[in-house]
Amino acid sequence: MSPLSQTKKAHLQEGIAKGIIWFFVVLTIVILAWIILYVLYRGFVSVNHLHYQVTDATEMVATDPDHPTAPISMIIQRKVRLKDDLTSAELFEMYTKRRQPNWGDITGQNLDVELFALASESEEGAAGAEIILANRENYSKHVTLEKDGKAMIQAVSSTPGGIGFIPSAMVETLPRSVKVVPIRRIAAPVNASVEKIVDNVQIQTIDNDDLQAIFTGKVNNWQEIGGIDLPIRPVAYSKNAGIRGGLLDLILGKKDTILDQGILYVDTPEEFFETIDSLPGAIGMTYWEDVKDIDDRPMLTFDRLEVRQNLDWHYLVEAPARSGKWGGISTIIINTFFLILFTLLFSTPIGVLGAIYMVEYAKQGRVVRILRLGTETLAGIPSIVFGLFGFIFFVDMLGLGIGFISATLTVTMMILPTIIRTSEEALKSVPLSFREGSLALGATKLQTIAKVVVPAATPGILTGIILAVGRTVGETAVLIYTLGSNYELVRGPSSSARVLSLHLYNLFSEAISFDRSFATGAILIFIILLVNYSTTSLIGRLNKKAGK
Amino acid sequence: MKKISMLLVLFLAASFVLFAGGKQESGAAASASQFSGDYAFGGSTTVDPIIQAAIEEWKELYPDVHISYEGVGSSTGIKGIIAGTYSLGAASREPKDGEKAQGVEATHIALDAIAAIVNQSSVSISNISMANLASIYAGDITNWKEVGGPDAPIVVFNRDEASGTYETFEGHVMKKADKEFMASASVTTGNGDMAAKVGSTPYAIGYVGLGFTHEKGVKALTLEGIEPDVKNVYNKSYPVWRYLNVVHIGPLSQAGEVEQAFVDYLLSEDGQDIVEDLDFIRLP
Repeated sequence: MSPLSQTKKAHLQEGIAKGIIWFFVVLTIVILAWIILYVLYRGFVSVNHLHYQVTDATEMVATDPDHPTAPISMIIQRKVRLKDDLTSAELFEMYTKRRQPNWGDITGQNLDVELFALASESEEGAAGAEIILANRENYSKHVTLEKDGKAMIQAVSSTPGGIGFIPSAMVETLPRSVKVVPIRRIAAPVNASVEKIVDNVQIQTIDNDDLQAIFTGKVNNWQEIGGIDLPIRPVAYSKNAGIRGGLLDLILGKKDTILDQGILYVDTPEEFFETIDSLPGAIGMTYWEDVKDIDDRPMLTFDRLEVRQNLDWHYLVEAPARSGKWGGISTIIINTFFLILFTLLFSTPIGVLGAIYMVEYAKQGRVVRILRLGTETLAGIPSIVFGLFGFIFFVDMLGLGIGFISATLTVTMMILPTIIRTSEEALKSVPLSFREGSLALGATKLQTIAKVVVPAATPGILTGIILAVGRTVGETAVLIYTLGSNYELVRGPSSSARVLSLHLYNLFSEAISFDRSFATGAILIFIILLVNYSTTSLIGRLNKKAGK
Repeated sequence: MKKISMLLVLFLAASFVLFAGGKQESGAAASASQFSGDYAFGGSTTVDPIIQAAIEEWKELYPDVHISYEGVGSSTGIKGIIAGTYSLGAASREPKDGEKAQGVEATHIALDAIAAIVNQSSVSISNISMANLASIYAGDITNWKEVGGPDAPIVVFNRDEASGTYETFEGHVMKKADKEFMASASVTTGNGDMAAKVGSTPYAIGYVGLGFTHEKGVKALTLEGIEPDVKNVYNKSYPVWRYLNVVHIGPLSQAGEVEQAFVDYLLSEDGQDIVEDLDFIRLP
């Protein structure tokens, strides 16, 4: 082989190696960025498909002249973080529930719902009672009656968590502390034949587009939208049916492609339900409160895509409630910092002093070798093993119980090897000449260590401590059986508590909320980023100082 | 070496001092009129929502009482009250003879039905017979086709053995059909976990307490045509139901003042409203 072709071959090899290395570099970066960005994205944006008994179309907004308007409009106090609208079913439940309802179920904030209604002597009061109670029940004992719209606005605006209703004509005069809530109240009852299971096929949820397609004649058979082979028979209120006559327009958004033939028009709710009950394949739109036998009547469920902001500052500053379903994570963040603080308080002196002993004082013989092997092994042991140890030793044998002190001590045990190992390496990397110089100047060994060796090794030691902090923040397995799951603020050494990672675990494993799991995950990522950033900048500054 | 051992001794001593301080605090005596102090309860994950909600209501009544509740499972909770880790436990089953022998007694606080749930979007059946349900869990029926569903293998989810729901299901469904759980089912850690996994796994089946049947993506099956609901549990027509209990050592009157007041609260009108609010069944 000529020397030339050998060079060529070498070049080729070089090129291939470079290519492979670059490929893996890019792959790693892409994977890392993808994971972090995905968790952050899900942390900030919640995307959910939710199923409702009512369509997306909202009502009771007097400001939109195109939509049929109910005689009343629902209003809430602005402190209630309701993003868009409520359904009639939610209203009904709130106003009839035995216990005082809480906004937590709808908005996630831990705030009692303060219910107001207009006395039913007035026209609007009667209309409100009909719409909200659907003639099924009475107002619960938690509802306060107001005499007129003015008093209602006053009451709702001054009560946190307040909800009430006013005559729609008064919507223009609302103060800033009160806002109007649109209500979704159009349900789609169907003939029982539509929900039958034939050959393992049953209609699932549909959406507004499907409903529009049905009433504009674009879809003629249930098969086309996921149901069984059965012709669709749309039923609608005619223009003579008063306010219900406008439902068709509302759903179709004033499109003039309404099916002329094919739709069966009815004039009254009685006629409507008779038609639905007797006509196979029938579907119609009516108000939710018109449906008297709500539990037994076949009705279609509607799929709604809800995209919302997930993580906001409320989540950071509010205390959790109901296992984290409501409220925020303020106490849990503080607990996390307490855990970090106390583990460092225990582990740093022991770890650093231990490392100093092993490097500076101990005779480098068998004992030190065994010690070193021991710490190395401990550093590699899965954290759940430390959890087991902590549970048996601290919780059970020492009788410390599940709580803050047991967890702190167990985590201390777990991160000690990390701190010892990194501190040892940092101390070892201080050149021997530093020590010799110091000793030659007449300093004692202790002075040499305190004034020369440890300062020179500080960046390395700090790195070890920060690594330990990172491990503490991210640790779950150790804490499940030593720290407990109480989500209140930690109150003493023996009180059970919850930290961010455990909270995430609980939210996820108890299926409390995926959105909240991701929000908590995002916070965890932020904390780790913060810790890492402050370390690099701190070490950078220390190195600079040493360099000077 | 000497220094290290000195350090270790110092460290242990320090932790003991801390520990002693903690005990003093939690031992603060409760006066009859105004309770205070730290209390640790623990047990069933099924009862968890009821207890957590009651604890939060109590915060307003007795701001000085701090109760924590650990959802560790009925059996672990009962072990905890025997060991003294918890001063009050909660169990979604009755105490067993062995546990009764150690002084464990139970007080009913609610009823609960256990419903078989399936993945809503993939499993089309809505009713199942007791015998078929037992056969699915015994591993004798492995395809949905055999019970009138789609032609697809059944993905079976079971609970861990510490779970009271597991034992109730075993007693009411498996034992009646004289069958045993198959070993190969995936194990879930709680009702919520079960509902989440069944809701997200195509062709999955599982079982949960009534309060969890409305979770995303799951559908509750009727058993022998009988719907799992309050009415059918009261009239005893729905077969798989159980009492939810709080458990304590000895009679309730010996469980401690705060514990007794807490259970009294659960049994009061307000407490039973919480039970109903969380989709469990109030005591008749």
